[in-house]
Amino acid sequence: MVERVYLGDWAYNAGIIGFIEIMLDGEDIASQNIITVGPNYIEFNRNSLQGFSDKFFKKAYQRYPRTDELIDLGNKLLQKLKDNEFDKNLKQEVSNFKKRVDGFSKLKQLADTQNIALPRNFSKDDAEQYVTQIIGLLNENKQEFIENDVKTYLATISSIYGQKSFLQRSVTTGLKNRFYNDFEAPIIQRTNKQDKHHTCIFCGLRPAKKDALLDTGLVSFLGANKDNKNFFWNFKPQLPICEICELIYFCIFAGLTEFRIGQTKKFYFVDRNTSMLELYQTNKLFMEMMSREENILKEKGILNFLNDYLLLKLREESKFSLANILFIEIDLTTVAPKLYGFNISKQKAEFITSNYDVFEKITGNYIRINDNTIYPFGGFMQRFLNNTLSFQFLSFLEGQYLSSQKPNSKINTNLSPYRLQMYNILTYKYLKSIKRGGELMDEKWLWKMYFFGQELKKKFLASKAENKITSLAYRLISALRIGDVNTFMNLIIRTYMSYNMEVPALFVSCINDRDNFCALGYSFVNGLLGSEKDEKVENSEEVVDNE
Amino acid sequence: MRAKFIFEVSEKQGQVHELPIYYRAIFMSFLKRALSLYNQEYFNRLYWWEDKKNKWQKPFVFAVNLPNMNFQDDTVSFRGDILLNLSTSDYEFFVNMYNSLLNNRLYPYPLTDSCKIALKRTYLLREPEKFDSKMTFKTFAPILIEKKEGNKKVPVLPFDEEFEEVFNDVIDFEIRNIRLLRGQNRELQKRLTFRPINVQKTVVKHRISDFVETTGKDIMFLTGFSGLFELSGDPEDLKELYQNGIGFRRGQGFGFVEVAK
Repeated sequence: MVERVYLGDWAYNAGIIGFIEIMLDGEDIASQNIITVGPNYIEFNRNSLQGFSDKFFKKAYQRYPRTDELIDLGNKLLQKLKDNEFDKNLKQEVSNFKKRVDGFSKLKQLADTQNIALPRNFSKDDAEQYVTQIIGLLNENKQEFIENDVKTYLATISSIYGQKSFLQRSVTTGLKNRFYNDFEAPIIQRTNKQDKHHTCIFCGLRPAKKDALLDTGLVSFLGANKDNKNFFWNFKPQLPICEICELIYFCIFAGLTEFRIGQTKKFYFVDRNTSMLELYQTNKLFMEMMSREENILKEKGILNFLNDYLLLKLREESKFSLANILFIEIDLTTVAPKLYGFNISKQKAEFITSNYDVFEKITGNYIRINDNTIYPFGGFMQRFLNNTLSFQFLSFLEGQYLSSQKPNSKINTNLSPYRLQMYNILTYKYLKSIKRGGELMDEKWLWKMYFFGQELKKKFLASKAENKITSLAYRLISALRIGDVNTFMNLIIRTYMSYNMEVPALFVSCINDRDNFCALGYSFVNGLLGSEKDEKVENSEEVVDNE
Repeated sequence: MRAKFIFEVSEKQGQVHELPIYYRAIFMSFLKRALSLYNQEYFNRLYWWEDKKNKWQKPFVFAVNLPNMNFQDDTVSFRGDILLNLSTSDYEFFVNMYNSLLNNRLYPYPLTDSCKIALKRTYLLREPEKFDSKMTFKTFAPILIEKKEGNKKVPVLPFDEEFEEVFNDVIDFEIRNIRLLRGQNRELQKRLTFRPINVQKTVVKHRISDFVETTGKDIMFLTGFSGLFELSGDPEDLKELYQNGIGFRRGQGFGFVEVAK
């Protein structure tokens, strides 16, 4: 029998996309015959759900392949133990491996029962034996471990699922079978009892499944869960949902694009309900693009990865925002999942897309103070998105840069005056065009001022007074920070007069416009400190530095 | 913002130079010439109102020091470099004027047929860090305070009874106009009290084209005062007066004061 599923709200749509992903199991949507894609619906035969449990677990495992990762890590470690000398570093690697094993509770339990342990002061032989035994354990019980990984993965995003039967804590083995028996088989064999009085509230096509509980049938962040059952008639948390829609909701995870930065995991979904195929292709493209970029970014090293990722995500978000497409970010790290939909204004989206090349230039910077590393781009973007960006942040960066130039400085940074100029340009444009809505002065002026700064620098160098550059820059920045036009102008005029040079008239042209003045002022300081071209920062060097 | 511009006269060193007695007007025309050459647009904004002369208060004051000066009837002789003191609260004016005076194409500039000058050196002067509500000033150039009587302008001196009232009116008008140029609409914040310490009446021979045209006379006589005096008022107002000068014709070389130590 053919079942038809129509597009619905964003979570339902994500479920449909996830369902297609799971069912197709890597097949191309254009050349398959499992699912028929209509303009605003999909169709499939109940019989084609045969093997759904396998595919479902496979998909979930792809998201969290801990068992395979550990086997892979163990094998590499064994090879290293064979090839290399058993030194401090290798010993540390073995300890790290053990830590991972200990964190894998099911594996640890099994290892304990079989008395597999690593002695406190282990030798090379001990290490080899331990790693071999662990790999053996993993391989012997692989299916069970994989199911456990799936459970762990789905449990971490339990706000999507709640306590499904197969995810209950008491169920420790045979998860897939449980899933098969509870969901797949009854649908195929049509053995689910039907509620004669209600039809499914989601599709409105099929009769509801009898006694389907809120918790097993509905995503908790859509507004209904056990805690708010007092909103329901007679406090009965039963939900009129059909078995097909329930299955669709199970698949939400596979429809979301997942992205992980360190410990934080975020999920994204692009909702456009113009057509089913378009919805599928947009999300598929987004998933592929993000995973491709993730690899590229990872190759560039974690430092750039963090910054570039932020920008990349924003660019994609902006594109969707501009096209009036709902872009949803789901944060599942909290007990109550947070949803961020369309949280970037059209103006900001335009700003990001039109200044993308400038944004790109400022990613990858770091400021290291002793052991702490700050990534200015992150702070900059945060302020940009929260509407708290001002010249204060630029002033902070300038200060850090200047401090890093001192001999024996504790601050180390790859910021350059040229990059600071990019920060300056973006800050200025943001303040003028988004925050205040004023008219922008020509960007050329900022560069003109930058070159005036360089001209003065040359004069300083020619008269062997390079030590004056930093001290002047310091004083100019502190004047700009507190908006003291008088001190700034006095310094400028005094300096130019001492070299019998013309004072750039640009300064006085916008003395009454604080934003313009600051932007020009910082441009001048950047020019004073900088060189003609951007100091290229090699990523590889950064990574080495970072390690 | 206060600077000193030192000009050397391109005649033999040690020689006595001569300038007409209305040398202030000559320097005024020099400054105007320099400014119009460098930035015509700004010059027009400052001195012209469409096709009429702009009588709005100018945001600056200057004073000329001629070393070893000696007055004859219609001339003043001096020996050495000419010092031009320029003071303003307006950065736009200062930058434009400073850049104008730096302009090499301007020199040698003929103040008169026989006296040509060239810029030798410039430097910024240190201003008092803090202004109090009571300050002692000394004049570098005479201060002109006048009141209107019918169509005539009559000088008012510190010895006159009504001086303080007229003085306050004149200063209030001056300060308000200068602040308006900066986009601020603020009058004198507190009434000024003038206490003469060592003040004397000064009569100055001056010449401006308007006067020559309307009266047919070559020289005008201006009565003002110079010397040492104490001024009490709001510190911000006193700073404004210090920077932009006091009284009438400040843009013509009058009203330049210095803080007396």
